[in-house]
Amino acid sequence: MNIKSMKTHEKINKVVIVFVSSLLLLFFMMPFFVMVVNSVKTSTQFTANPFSLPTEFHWENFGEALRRMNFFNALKNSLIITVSSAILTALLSSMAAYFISRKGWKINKIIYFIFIASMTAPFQTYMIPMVQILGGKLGMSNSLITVSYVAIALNIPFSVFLYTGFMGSIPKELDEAALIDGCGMIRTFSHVIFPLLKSILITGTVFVVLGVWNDYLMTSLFISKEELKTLPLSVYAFLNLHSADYAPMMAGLIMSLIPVLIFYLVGQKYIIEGIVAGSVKG
Amino acid sequence: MKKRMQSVKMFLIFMFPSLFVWATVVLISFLYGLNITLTDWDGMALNYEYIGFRNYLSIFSDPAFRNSLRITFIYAIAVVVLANVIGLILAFLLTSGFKGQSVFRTGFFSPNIVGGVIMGYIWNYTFSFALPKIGQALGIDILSKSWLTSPNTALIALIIVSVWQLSGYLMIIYISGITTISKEVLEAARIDGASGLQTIRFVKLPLIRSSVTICLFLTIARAFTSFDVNLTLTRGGPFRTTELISLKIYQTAFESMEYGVGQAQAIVLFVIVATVSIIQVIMTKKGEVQA
Repeated sequence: MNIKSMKTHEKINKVVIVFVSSLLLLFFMMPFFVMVVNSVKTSTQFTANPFSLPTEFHWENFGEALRRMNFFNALKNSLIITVSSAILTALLSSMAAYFISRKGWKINKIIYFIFIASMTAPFQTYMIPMVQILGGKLGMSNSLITVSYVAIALNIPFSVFLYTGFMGSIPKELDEAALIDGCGMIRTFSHVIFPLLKSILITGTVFVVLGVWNDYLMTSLFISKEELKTLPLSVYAFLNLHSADYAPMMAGLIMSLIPVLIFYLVGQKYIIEGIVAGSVKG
Repeated sequence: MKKRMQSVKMFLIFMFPSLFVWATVVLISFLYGLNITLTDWDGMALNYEYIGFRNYLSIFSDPAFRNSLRITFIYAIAVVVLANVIGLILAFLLTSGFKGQSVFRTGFFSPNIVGGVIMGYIWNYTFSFALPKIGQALGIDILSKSWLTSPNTALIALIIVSVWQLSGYLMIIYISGITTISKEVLEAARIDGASGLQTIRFVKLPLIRSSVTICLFLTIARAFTSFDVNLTLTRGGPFRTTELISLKIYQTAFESMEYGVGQAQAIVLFVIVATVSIIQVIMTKKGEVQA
């Protein structure tokens, strides 16, 4: 094969690759497309032809979805739970990770091992007793604090794992220097170590945020009051009515996707990094 | 003595908060849960009796549970295989170096930011209304009625939606594996006259075995514990033919109020996931090549 025919061969290859990728992407995006075009049509137009482009824009679908989902209240609840659990998970886990990596005590090693081992147990294994104890015995149902507390607990093992791994790359000489300068362990952590964790903290937190924000099952086990519902719960309540009001429902789905979509576009780099960092555990 | 006090104090400050939060939710629940499986408790009564392993025995003689187990295995095998194959294909397509491939990556990954509940509903409408329209217009028989209304196609629909989401996630891990393959190795393959497909088969695939191990591990765990999509796409229907094990556990415990039985089912799920994962890791680790 001479160089010229190799070049054309490669060109054809590229065209095929782009074509196949585009075709696949078209299929991948179809459900989103259906949702978007139908959110501004009427429900009868939707059932008549889900693929037709809207001829007139029924923005009132969005107003109705906002009202029926009690959207802004649900958004507020989602934000409270997500933000509080993300911050506290990052803080508690990074402190534990620091302690584990700097004090090679037997008890620390045991705790670390148990955290890692617990990651293999699916949520279902402790779901039922958790509801019994926290919700039943302690009467802590219908509280955003409970949901946030449980979310932190569920995210601690992975976060500790992620941060302990990273902590190993921070030279111990740094803390020793700080200790010699008269910093206690707390000051060393808060002034020297914590700032160095910035990138891995963002990565880990992005993970927690996506998980907590999208969680339905755990939250639904604790929250039944209308005014405490998070976005996934209120979407579920709205769409589970099985009414024929499809168009407002599409609008509702879009509304609940917008916050996470913004988050994705801003934090995409960190989401990708987080997946790669998190997958090293194998 | 003073040093010891200091150590305890530091432990309490740094380690204890995480340990406490985790233990009060996860550890206590897990141990308490093992205890529940040995009782006939309905979750309400003040007293209950220990009935030994009867809950475990009863779930295996329950045809609904056995059926759910069977469906879960079919679903998990299909999802694990398809999501990994498609994830790999996407990764190879999108590392070939064409302009705009990062836009494609963003697109393929996007289903992963959508929560399971929302995703299930989006596809519910797609299967119930959009696809039948295509089927009717093109005269494709199999597409012309909703897949969610008959048992076999409903399970296939559930598999498609899960694969649709997971393959973009796996794509990211595979891409990161492929991009760490050294340029020299690929250049050498090229000089030796290997075609694109040959390079993939004999150079790239063997060198990303560790990514394969990870991706299989992740997908096995995800597939066996899938819940949200199951709830909003098919709700286990029609006639409980798509009731995956997680949904079954949920319904046993919170709808039939059989806590002991539900918890025993959950422990069985745990044992299954752990066993399958361990076997998989041992098997795939064997063939890994150190690059």
